[in-house]
Amino acid sequence: MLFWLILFFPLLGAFLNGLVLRKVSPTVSHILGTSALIAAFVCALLTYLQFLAGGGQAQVITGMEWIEAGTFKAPFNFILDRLSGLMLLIITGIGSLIHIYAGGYMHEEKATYRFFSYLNLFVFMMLLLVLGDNLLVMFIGWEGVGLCSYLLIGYWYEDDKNAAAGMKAFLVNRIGDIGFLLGIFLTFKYFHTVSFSELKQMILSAGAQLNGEQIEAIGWITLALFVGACGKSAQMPLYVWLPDAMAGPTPVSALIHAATMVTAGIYMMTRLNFLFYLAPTTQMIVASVGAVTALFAATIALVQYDIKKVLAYSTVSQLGYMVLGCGVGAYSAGVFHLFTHACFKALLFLGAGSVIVAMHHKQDMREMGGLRKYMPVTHLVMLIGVLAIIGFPGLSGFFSKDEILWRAWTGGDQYHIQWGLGALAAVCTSFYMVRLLMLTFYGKNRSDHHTQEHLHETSVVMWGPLVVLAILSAAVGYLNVPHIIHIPGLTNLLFEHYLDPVISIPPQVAEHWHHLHAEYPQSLEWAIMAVSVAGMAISSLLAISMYSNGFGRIANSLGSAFKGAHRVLTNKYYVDEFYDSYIVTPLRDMSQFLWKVVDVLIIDGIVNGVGQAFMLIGGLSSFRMSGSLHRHGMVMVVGIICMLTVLFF
Amino acid sequence: MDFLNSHILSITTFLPLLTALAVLLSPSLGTARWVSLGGALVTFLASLHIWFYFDSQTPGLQFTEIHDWIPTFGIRYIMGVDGLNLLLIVLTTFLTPLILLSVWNIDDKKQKAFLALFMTLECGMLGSLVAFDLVFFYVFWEAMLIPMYFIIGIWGGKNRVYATTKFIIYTFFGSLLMLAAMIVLYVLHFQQSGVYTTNLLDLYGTTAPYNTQLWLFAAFALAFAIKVPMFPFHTWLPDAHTEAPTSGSVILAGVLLKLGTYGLLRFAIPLFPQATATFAPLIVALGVIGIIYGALNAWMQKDAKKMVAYSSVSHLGFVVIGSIAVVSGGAALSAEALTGAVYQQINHGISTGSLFFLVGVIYDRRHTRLLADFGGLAKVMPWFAIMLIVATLSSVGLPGTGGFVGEFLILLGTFMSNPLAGATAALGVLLGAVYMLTLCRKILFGPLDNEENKKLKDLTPREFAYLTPLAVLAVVMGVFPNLFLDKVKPSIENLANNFRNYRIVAEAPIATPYLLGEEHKEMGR
Amino acid sequence: MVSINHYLVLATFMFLCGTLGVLFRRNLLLVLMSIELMLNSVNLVFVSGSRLLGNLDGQVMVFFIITVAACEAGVGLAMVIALFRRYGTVDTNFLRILRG
Repeated sequence: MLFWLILFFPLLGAFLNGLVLRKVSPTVSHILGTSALIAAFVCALLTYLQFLAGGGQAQVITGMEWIEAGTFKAPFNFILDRLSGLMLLIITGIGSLIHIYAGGYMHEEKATYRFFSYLNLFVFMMLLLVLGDNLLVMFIGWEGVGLCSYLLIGYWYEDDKNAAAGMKAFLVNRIGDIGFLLGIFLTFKYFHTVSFSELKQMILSAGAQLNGEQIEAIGWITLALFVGACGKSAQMPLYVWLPDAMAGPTPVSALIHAATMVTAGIYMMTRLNFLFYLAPTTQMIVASVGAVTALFAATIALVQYDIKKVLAYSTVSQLGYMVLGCGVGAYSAGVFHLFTHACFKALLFLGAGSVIVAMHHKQDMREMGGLRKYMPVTHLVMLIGVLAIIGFPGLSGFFSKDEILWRAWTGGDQYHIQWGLGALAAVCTSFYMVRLLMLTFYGKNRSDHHTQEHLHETSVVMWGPLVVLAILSAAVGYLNVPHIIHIPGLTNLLFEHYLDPVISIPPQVAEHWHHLHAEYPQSLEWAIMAVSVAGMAISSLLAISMYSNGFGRIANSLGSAFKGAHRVLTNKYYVDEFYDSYIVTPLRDMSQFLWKVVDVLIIDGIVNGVGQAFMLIGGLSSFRMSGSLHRHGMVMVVGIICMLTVLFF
Repeated sequence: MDFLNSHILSITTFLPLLTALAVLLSPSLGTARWVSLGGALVTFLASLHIWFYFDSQTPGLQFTEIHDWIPTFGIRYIMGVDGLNLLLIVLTTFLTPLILLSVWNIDDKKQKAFLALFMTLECGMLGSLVAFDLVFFYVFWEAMLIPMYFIIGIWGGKNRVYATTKFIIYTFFGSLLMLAAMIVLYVLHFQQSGVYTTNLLDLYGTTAPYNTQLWLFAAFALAFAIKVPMFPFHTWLPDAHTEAPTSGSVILAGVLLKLGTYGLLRFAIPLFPQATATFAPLIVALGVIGIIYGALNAWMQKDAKKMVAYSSVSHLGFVVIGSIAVVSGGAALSAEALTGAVYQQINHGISTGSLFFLVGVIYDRRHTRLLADFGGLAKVMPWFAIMLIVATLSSVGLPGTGGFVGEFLILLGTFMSNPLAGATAALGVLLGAVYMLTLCRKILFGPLDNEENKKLKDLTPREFAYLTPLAVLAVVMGVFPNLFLDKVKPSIENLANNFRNYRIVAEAPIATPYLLGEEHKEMGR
Repeated sequence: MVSINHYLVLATFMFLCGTLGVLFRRNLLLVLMSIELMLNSVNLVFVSGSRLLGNLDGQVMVFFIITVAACEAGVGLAMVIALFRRYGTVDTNFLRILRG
């Protein structure tokens, strides 16, 4: 019962706000939307506690039948296990905080019923995504969150740019969704089920000897599903929608485009880890794509001026880490980073949102600076957020990111390059995040007089959630302290083993993985950690020295020294331009050709040509028709006489 | 009840015709409107009776009516319902009252004739859906064209005569080929059994020689392909849709096109199974081309209605490939794809119907359909925006709307039958989103910079009355597909598994009441 | 003694007159009258044939023809009037709507 309420409340909120209470004040919409989510959070928490108290065994909750045709079956079944339980808490918990915050952020709007309706609907869809027990229910959520993201990016639809960004997000996601669909088709074709629990049982049960065809199919299935994950989790080459998605209101960026929706790909791969384990090629591809994306996005973030764009590319980069984690088989590390990232990235986005509100919706960091004076609380929480993301020892990012890098190094010799890319990306991360902090909060204020006059700390509705998130960002790392660092009382909390019931290595490859998990010397782990920390420290110090007072001499001279590189980075490697001129424009030209030439000229031309040919033949044979009664009569009579003559003589 | 059950199909079919007569006889336009709406609603109720009393456990023909018509030639009056036509019948009777509501405010002196023609059209469509005798079917099939010819030709746009002539000649051309094939089949059956009959149930047993089958199948399939319309026989459709009045477009897209795909399922495939297996790759290829081609063409359109018209070409491509997804080495059709095809027919009727309605709504207000003339309407017409977005989502097959269930099953089945075709057709899902979102964006979003658009009023109660049922149904069909699929399952499985040797039997006309409890069963009888 | 040949010759003559009238008169009214003449010549043949063979079949046929001729005259005259109203003339030289 409690379980169904988790799903029910957000849906109810969306329904009431969206279709019923459209004339109410923004405050009412806000309270309604937020309370729906808080109620869902409470239910989720209770359900989770019950679930843990009950031993933490995965359970399938049967709902109604949905699609049934031929041998295909996809009922509304839900799965509650440690993974989906954790996701439940992240989504509803961080979602609640962001809902509270959104009321403050959107206070200038005249009507926000649409906004909160979409947000609630998003949470509902996200819950479907993580709770679904088969690929199809997951796919409802998968596309549903895409829809909400589309609607929310284009929330201020009167600016055509926002509408375009929303559409881009939806379409790029759809490319991934086709991959996901193909994955479903292949799964059904070779395993005759799309249910996670059945699939898992089928793969893991010792008796099930998969035939060669099925093993090969698993390779394709995982690859197709990974294409889906690339779309949703903004990996190369489908990441292009995420930076544009920042056109939406900032709470949306925090909730959808940082904390929850974009992690769907990682969630899905973790859910299906037993398939990915059986597809080493796919794993290699996953790890490579993740590592490349992490570095690629991080380099772009180095030179961006828009505070939200920096965070957007940072999100892409961090997602790259999680994908890398999945690729090297370190699912629990990936999910752990998902968890910590949800906390600190939501914090960073919301903090940036506070800055943007204070700056009267200016997002260019060149106009900021010195905000520490005006917004002390925001400064403090942002500081914690930045320290967390760059992996400052003791904060959450340090534990989660290093875990992934460590597992990448130990995942086998073939993954050392990926580790290198990841470590390099970590160096970039600390640089651009510290740069962001410096340009925003330190140095002299560079904004114009009018803005400067109105700079002030935000209301408690906004900074309250920030404080909570800051505490979380600082603390959650201790759920998974590496075993080389002994902290008394925390050893049993290891997150690494939390997901053990979910992560199941199929018997066929078990030996390989046990072999890999064999003890490494502690010194190696210390060394890897030292490399990370040193890189972080050096690049942070570099950023501090470059940007401690706006754009210092060093920054400018570096910029002019590497002009070409700087321009390429500022223009994001021209990827959008590349897609535009090599994919969109040719497709458009081809469509134009198909319509104007093939359809109108050729096909319709043939159709009309046939008609005209008959007209022509008719015209040719009718030219003897004078229309004169007498002539027609005469011809007739002569004809009859001729016939009679022939007949009788 | 007995009488009702054994004559319900005749009642449902001919009630609209009676209504048409009554409309012509009614003294004023006001009366005529109420008469037509009343007639349409009663027809809808009658079809609901069929729906609720339909026995969903059997693949057989139900509510059968058999009378002699022209005994000398073995031509009979045979009507029946099974899973293949049940949904389409209800869709037809459901759309008609909504369309009558949409033309409620049209006030010219020919309007009475319009209403009468429209009801005649409904009779034609229902008749061709329930007929199980070739000649009987053919009469309705052609009769249906006449009202449509006038609806486009009299109430259409600037280029209406060209469009309606093209429509009728093109369709008629296909029908004549089909008639010829019917006669050949009739003679063949006589040669094999010594009985002259046009009874479809008997003709299913005719096995034509393979070479003859090829020709006959081609003739049937061509007639239906033109009606669907399949690439490359589709060019009459954009013209007809652009010129037709809103009501005409809705019924054309909603039901008339489905008769093409229905015909494939009812006639071409089970009558000529060997030829079906031979032609399947070609038809699937044309269907897939149609999906991609229609979508790309739709993307380029500047006229909203033309865009929706091309989208029909694309969507019906899905239905076609779903109808003919051969699996198990040609021994069976994919039941998943077939279910999807039957379901998608209804979804397309709902989503495209409401898209045409919505384009009609703004056309009524602005007298233009060019996308460039709009923009930012979401601000002045928020409810219109909601309706358009729901229709769009259903059209692009977002999970949770009916479109998804249909498209997914079709793609799944096609993929099982031919992975390449399935994967290529899946691209249509992406392209569908491309043009539909372009449509939404150009109409709803962006700056509201046209002075005339600033004065637009949101939906009126009458418009709500005909748009809401469609929007609600689009969602209901996506969330509770089993309400519909349960009914059609046995028939579809029968066709899918036995299409090589297809038979259906006519059940006794009285079925067990569906909704009534045990104690009411006796009363039901 | 008037033999059957006399009737046949007369009928042929009447028929030729009618035919020539249809072919060469320009007034539609006269064309219609010529057609009547042709029908009556046929009637004459039927009646004489009936007399020769001694049964009533020919007579019955004549009644049919008279009836049809009356109808035809009615419809024809109505059309002539309609044409006159529409075009203001019944001269066949001017009525050439069927020209290809």
